[in-house]
Amino acid sequence: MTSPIAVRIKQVSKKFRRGELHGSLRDFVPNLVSGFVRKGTDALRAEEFWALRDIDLEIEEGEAFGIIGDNGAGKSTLLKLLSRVISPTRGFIQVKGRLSALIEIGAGFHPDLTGRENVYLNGAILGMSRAEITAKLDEIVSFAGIQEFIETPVKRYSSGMYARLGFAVAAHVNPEVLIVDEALSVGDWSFQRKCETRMKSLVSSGATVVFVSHNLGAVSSLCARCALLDRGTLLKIGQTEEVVEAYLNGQMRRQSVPATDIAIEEVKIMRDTGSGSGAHFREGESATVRVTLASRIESRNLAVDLYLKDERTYEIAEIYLNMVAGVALAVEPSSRTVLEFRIHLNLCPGSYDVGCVVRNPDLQVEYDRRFPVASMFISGSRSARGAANLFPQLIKNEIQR
Amino acid sequence: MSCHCRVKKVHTSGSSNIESRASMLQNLADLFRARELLEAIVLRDVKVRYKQSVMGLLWAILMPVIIVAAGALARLGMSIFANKPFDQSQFASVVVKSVPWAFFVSSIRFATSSLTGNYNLVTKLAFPKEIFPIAAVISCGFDFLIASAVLIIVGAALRVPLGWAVLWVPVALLLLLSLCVSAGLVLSAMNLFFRDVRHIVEVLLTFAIFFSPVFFDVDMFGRWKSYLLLNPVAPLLEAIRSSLVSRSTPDLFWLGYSATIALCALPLSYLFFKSQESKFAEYI
Repeated sequence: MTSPIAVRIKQVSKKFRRGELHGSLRDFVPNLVSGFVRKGTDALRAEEFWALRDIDLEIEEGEAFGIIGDNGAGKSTLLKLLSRVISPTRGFIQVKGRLSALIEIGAGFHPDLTGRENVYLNGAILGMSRAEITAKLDEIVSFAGIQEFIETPVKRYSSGMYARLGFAVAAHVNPEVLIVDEALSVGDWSFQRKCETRMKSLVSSGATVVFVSHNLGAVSSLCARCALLDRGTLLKIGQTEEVVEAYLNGQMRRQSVPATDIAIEEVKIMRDTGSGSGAHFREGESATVRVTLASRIESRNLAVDLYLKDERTYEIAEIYLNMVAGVALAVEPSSRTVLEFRIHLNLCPGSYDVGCVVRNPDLQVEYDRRFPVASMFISGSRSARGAANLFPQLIKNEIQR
Repeated sequence: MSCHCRVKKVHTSGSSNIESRASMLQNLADLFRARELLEAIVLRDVKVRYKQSVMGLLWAILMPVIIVAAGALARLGMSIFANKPFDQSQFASVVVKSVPWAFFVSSIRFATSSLTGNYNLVTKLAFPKEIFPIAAVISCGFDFLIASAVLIIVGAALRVPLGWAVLWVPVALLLLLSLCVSAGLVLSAMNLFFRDVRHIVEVLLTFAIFFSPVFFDVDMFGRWKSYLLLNPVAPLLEAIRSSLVSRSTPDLFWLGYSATIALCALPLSYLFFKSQESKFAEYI
């Protein structure tokens, strides 16, 4: 099943300079002359760094492709290269078809203009003709849900309304290639839902979507394939679930253990069945959590609390391990204590971060607190959303007259 | 014209070096395709200027009116000093030159900061960036049209006689437009790299009125006349004056001089702008 390639990125590197560019006119004039000559060389001058290095990527037509990575990994640079706002230092990028970039929602909005005027302005910026915009105006406005404010200057809009209108315009461009950066992080649940549906319908109508987000749940629900960027290099390309798991594992490894009397050395979430470690689960599965504490002192009355936060950093669960155990937990001096217990992941699809606190409730001492100490990623049927999964099952569906 | 402006390096697998150059023709085609965007940006600039303002459309004539008032005063002083009567034609000369001068000053001022003022669009989206300085000039042209309309109505009410020489006015105005666009292209790109360009331009524009025949006519300067006409705007203003006030054909030699500069400046400034365009998003 090889579809034609919509986006081809070949050996692309991008060099940036730290600090101020062009300190003075004296630098500028020689740069004007030598600028093009020097371009394409490998040598890094002082203050220069590679924002992206030797990226090779092919995205098929009609595919939804995700790009994930930490801040500063080069995701936005890659998107800017794709949308031709900046040009690569080396390498070559090919994009087939009409491209629409949703890099910053409402980037072209002018605060003093009304919603309607901004729809026309932003539509033109995104490459729509006036006739096209007029034809789609009602659809755009109702998608954004701001019918009664369409004649109000957007400076009076709430940030949510602003963002919704921005997305609504961009989503109606009908591009062949849509580039989306963090678009789903705006608006409430129902609007995010709408955006996802819109993007899915774009994909099913044959458009290619390149999606960058920190919201791993949104990435995995939309994209079958994914790329992981790490400090300018492409670490992994593959099925979204594998890439997300590699990302979460990599993130945890980078944290170091601080020196306290009782330190949380590791919190690991493991698969109950099958292959040992893994940060990726299906909804409703059970998992084993292993907490390893390293203590220098003795304690007879220790409380270990775990808490779970979702992507919007709402705390959705707290677990008190001493309550689970029914007794106060104890540690010996200069030793390691390992606690293992089982949890049921009654969670909706998405990614979750785990935090851990070790404290003595009597002495009111907090020995260690780490967040995020572990992360996991839940995939599933998407029959439920929100904080908890109530595992709905259909037991009756009949028409009563 | 075999000018190459946007140079995009394309490398395949590191070794071979293929360069694909977008020709000037290609760039102009891109610009033409983006005409609706240009329209939208002009509309935005015009609307924003008149929204939430006390004066509304009066803004368009405020600047020319002030220039005319200052010019009339200066002219009056000169005629008292020279012991000559201050007549209608002197006043008319100041009026017909002030309106295009106001356009020249405001369009260059506005165009200079047009790229930095649209930071968001320059760094986030890809389209021909010359749209911004061009839109800035055109939106100032809108003010110019309003002021001209007022002038035409007043002229008609006063039954000011016109001759066939009036046909030279659009020629001079088109050349002025070309000068404004050229300056806008170069200065907006320079201001993107160095923010003080805007201040330099501001200072130059403030004092440019002393070097350009707005308050005075070049004929007053006798043998120094030619030096004043070296300023490419001067022959255009003089052409407008002579065709409207003296109702005679302008000095075609100096008009030709201005035309040569204006018509050379346009493609050259466009080439310069396009050669720098690929750096805009990074250096802004």
